[in-house]
Amino acid sequence: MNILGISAFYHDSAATLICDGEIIAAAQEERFTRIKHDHNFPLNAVKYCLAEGGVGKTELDAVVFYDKPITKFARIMETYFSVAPKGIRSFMMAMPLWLREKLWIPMDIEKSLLKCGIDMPKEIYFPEHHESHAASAFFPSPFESAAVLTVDGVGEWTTSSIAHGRGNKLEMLSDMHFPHSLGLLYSAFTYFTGFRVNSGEYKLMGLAPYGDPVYVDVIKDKLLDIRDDGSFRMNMDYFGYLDGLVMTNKKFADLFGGPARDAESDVTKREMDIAKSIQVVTEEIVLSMARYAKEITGENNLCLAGGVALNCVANGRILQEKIFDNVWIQPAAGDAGGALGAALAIWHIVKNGPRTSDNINDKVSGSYLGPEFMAADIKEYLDEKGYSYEKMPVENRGAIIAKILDEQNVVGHFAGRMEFGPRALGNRSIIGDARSPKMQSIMNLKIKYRESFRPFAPSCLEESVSDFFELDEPSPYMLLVAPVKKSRCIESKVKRDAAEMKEWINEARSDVPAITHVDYSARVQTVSPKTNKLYYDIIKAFEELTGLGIIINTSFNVRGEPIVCTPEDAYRCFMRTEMDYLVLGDYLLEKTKQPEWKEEGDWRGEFALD
Amino acid sequence: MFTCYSIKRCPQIVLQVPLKELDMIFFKHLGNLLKEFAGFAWKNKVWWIVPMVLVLLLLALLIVTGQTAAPFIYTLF
Repeated sequence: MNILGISAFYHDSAATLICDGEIIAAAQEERFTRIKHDHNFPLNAVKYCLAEGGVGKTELDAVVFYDKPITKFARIMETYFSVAPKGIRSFMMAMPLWLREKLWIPMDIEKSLLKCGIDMPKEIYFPEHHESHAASAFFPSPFESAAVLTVDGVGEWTTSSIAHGRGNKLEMLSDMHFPHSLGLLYSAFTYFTGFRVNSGEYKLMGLAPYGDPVYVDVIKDKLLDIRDDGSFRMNMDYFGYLDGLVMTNKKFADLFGGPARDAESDVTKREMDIAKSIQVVTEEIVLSMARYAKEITGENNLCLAGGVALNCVANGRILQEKIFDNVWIQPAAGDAGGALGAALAIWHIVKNGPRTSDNINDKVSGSYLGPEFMAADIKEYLDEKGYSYEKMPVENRGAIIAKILDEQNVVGHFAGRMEFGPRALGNRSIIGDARSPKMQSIMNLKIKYRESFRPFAPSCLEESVSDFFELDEPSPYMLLVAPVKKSRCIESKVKRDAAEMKEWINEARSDVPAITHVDYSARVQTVSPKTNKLYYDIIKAFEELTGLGIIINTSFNVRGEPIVCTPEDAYRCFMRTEMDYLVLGDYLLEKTKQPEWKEEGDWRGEFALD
Repeated sequence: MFTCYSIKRCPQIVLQVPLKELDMIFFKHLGNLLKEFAGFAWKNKVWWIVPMVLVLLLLALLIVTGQTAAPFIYTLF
C-alpha cells in the first residue's frame, strides 16, 4: 500500500512516501526550489517521492495532509473575534492566503498528482497536527512502547501534547492549547533579539551560552504561570501575536529595557542575557513536561518531535537528568517531519498496519531519505561543464579526504542520499579539522558568511563518542548537546564580556576547539558504518592519521540558502565560497584547478538572510 | 534511483489537463469544502462559521483576480 504524506503552507513544506509501512522517500520542497523554508505546495518533493518509489498511475492508495485546515481556520477566526476590532490588519493579510490556498488543499493535491501523471486516490486524510508529530516520533522509533512528547508553536489548537505509543497504536493523553505555547514563547524572544521567527530560533539557542540568566525571574514572574506538570499560561498583555503583526509589544520591551534589537545590528550583552534566560526557562518547562509524561505513561522510553524538539540543549538536559532510560528524537522534528508522521499514522492507526521494533534500530535509515545521484551522472555533468576533477579509488577515498582535512583545508562533501530534516549529517556537509582554533572563524566568515558567534558541530565515530564528550550513547541526528570531556578542556582566560566577544570566540577551550562552544558543550553527531559507511570511513581515516576521530560538520550551504540538493547546487556553492575542495561522490575537485567562476551581479542578494 | 541530477535537466512539470477538467475539479472541491464546513459546524456546534465562510468566499470571488500574493506574516496565521 502506497501512502503519500504532505505538509505545506506554513513552513518547510515536505512530502514523504511510505510503502507497506516502509519509509521509501522524504524530502523538503526548499531543496528543490532553492527557497529557504519554502511553504508552498511541495510539488517537486511529491514528484521526487513518487519517482523514487516507482509509483504508477493507479498505484497511489492514499494521500495524507499533516493537519486539519478547517479546524485551524476556525481557531484563527475565533482568535480574531476575541480580539476584534484590534487585529484587523492581521486579519486582512491572513484571509487572502486562506481563501486562495489553505482551504483548497485537496484540490491542490489532486492537481499536483495530475501533473505528476498519478490518479487521485479515493482516500484522503487529515490527522491532527500534533498526532502527526507524535506519529513521526513514535512509529519510526526503535521502541515497542514509549511516552511521546510533542512541543511546537501551534497546530490546530494544540501547542504541546503527551501521547502513549504501544505497538502500532498511539493514544493522545494530554495537551496544552493556543495561545499558551512554548514554541511561540521561544519565537517571541527570537523576534525580540533580532532574529527571524520560524528560522532564527537555533541562533537564539547558540547565543545563550554567552549570556547570564539574569531575566529568568522576570520571565517567570511577569510572563508565565508555570504548573508542576510543565503546562503554563502566558500573560498575553505582553505579546503581540494575537492581534498584531509582531510577536511582542511595548509592554514586553519595557520589561527588557528597550525595544527589540534591529536585525543585523550588533548583538549586545542584553540579547545574550535574554537568550540565556529564555533557554533556562525553556529547559525547565521541557523537563517538567518530560517528568509528567513519565508519570502518566510509566514508560522508560521517550520519543520527541515538534519544532521545540530541535532545541538540542533542552534534549541534552532530558538525557542528563535521566528521567527516561532511552530517548529518541525524530530528526525532522519540525513541520517537515509532520508529512512522515501523517503517512505513518494512517498506515498503523487507520489501516492497522503491523509495526516491529527491536529497541535498538530506528526505521529512518539515518534520515538519508532524499535524492541520490549516480556516479555516471555526476561524471557526465562534470565533463559537460569542463570542470577539473580526479576520481578517487574507492578503497582510498576516506584516506585521501582525511589527508586533505589534516592539511587544514575545508571540504564540501556531497555523497549518497540527501538528508531529510534540518541537519546535514555527512551527505550534504562542509567538513573541516576540529583541532584548529581558527576554523570556527574561517568557516563562519569565509565560507558560511554568517554571524561569528555561531558554533559548529562535531561528527565523531559512534564507538568513541565518550572519548570526547560526557555522553555514552549514540546521537546520530545531531539533536543532543553534551559537555566536552573535562580532561580535554582548557580553562578560559578571557573575561565573559561582550566587548571581548571576538577574542572569547577564538579562544581555544579544548583540544578540539573548533567544535567546543563557549560553555564547553557541543552538538554531537555520532557516525555509524551501518547508516553511512562513506562518511564513517573519512572520520576513521582521520583518526588513523591524527589520533582524533572527530571532524567539524556543518551544512553544505551559505547563510540563507537551503542545503544543496544536486551536484550543480554543490558546485555553485563551492565556487562562491572559500572552500578548498569539493567531493562529489567519488570525484574530487580542487578549487585552484577550476575554470574561472563568473556570475552576473552579487550572488549574496540571491538568498534572503535568515 | 533518482538520477535527474539538475533542475535544468529535470523534465519540466507541464500541466496537461484540459481547462474544462480543471473547472470541474474546482467545482467538485468547492462543493466538498462547503460540505466540510457544514459538517464541522454541526459536529462542533459552531454555527457562526457558516455565514462567515459564505461571506468570505463571496469576497474571495470578487478579489480572486486581484493581488497576486498576500505579504508574509507569521505562519501561525
